Amino acid sequence: MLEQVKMILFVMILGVAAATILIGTDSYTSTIIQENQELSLKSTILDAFEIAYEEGTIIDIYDQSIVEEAVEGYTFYTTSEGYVGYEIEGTGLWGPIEGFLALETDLVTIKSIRISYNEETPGLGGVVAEKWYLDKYRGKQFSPEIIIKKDADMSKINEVDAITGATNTSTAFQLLLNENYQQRKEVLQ
Amino acid sequence: MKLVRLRYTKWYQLLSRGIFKENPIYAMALGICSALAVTNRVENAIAMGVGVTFVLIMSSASTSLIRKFIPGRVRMVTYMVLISTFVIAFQLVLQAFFFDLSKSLGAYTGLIITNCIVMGRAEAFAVKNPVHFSVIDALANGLGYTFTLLALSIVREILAFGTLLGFQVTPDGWTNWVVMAMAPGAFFVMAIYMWIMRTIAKLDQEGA
Repeated sequence: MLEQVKMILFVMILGVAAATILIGTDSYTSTIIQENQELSLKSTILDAFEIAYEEGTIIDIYDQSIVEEAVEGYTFYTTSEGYVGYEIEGTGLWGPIEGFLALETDLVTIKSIRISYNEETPGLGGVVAEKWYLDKYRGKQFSPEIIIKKDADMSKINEVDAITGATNTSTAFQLLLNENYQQRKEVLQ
Repeated sequence: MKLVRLRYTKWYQLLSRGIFKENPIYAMALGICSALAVTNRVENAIAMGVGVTFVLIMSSASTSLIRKFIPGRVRMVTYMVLISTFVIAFQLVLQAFFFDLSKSLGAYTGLIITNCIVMGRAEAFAVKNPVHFSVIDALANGLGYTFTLLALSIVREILAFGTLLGFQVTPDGWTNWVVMAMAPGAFFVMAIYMWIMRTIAKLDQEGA
């Protein structure tokens, strides 16, 4: 009996101690983490619109050059030049893929894509977040949709090469791009 | 003379056991999962090695510190609570102060919780030994794990991408072995590595 009481007491103390450590760390770090995430989103958006910035000036430049607009539940980001962008998200092979897509003024041509979060295999599916790969999408059009495949004909306006050795990530990325665009298509026009 | 005496100190023995003779990966076959998963690039191997070593040291030290109070029947739960607390705290600190690194490690930091080595050392060593020896034991095993990851990832990154830490090391015209970046390549390299290391460490001598 005494042993059981001791055991329960021990587990309770352990739980309280662990919770204290976690609550302490969380309250200390949560505002910094939030700021980091905000900075990360804003710098991703600036990158996608190809607006130059420096480490300390992200918020200022962002406030000057980007207008946020919510239409029918979707948030759009516009620049003074008339480029429109939106956040993209979807499921990759191993976890979520999140990022930002900027369109040219005609609203069907991709200006650029940036991926801010993914859990794909580094070096394989993870290539989806690398700039040199995403640069292949520049100038491609959603007409009617983007096709990602092996040995794509890059001269076609809507075909892009798949990632070598990562067929499933490529398929998931194709779905993600097209779905996010289709959802917003009517609102955009 | 000094060197000879060094070999008989307890901390030297602990270090050499963890890193070499009883290396968690090739001698005890623990932590194989993560060793296969993250070794396609040296950069990932280093980050994972540092993370596991940190959590190992923290969990071994705290387990050892309260070892006299842990009731036998809930000791597994205790290790689990301690380990996950440190991993989550580690993740939060990374996100707050090393945001870019935390993004590239993404899913891996959470995986440290499930690494058998951490729980293995708590149960096999820390719960029976004083704090300072537990920390040395944890460090040794962490290093043993990290060295193995490094060895595997160096081979795999060169063969799979022709690079080392992102720098080109192979001659032009080199064909990347894509299979090396994937799971089958990991198994091949791991098997060969275990064979070589177990032979050197004389772990498979018959009748021994």
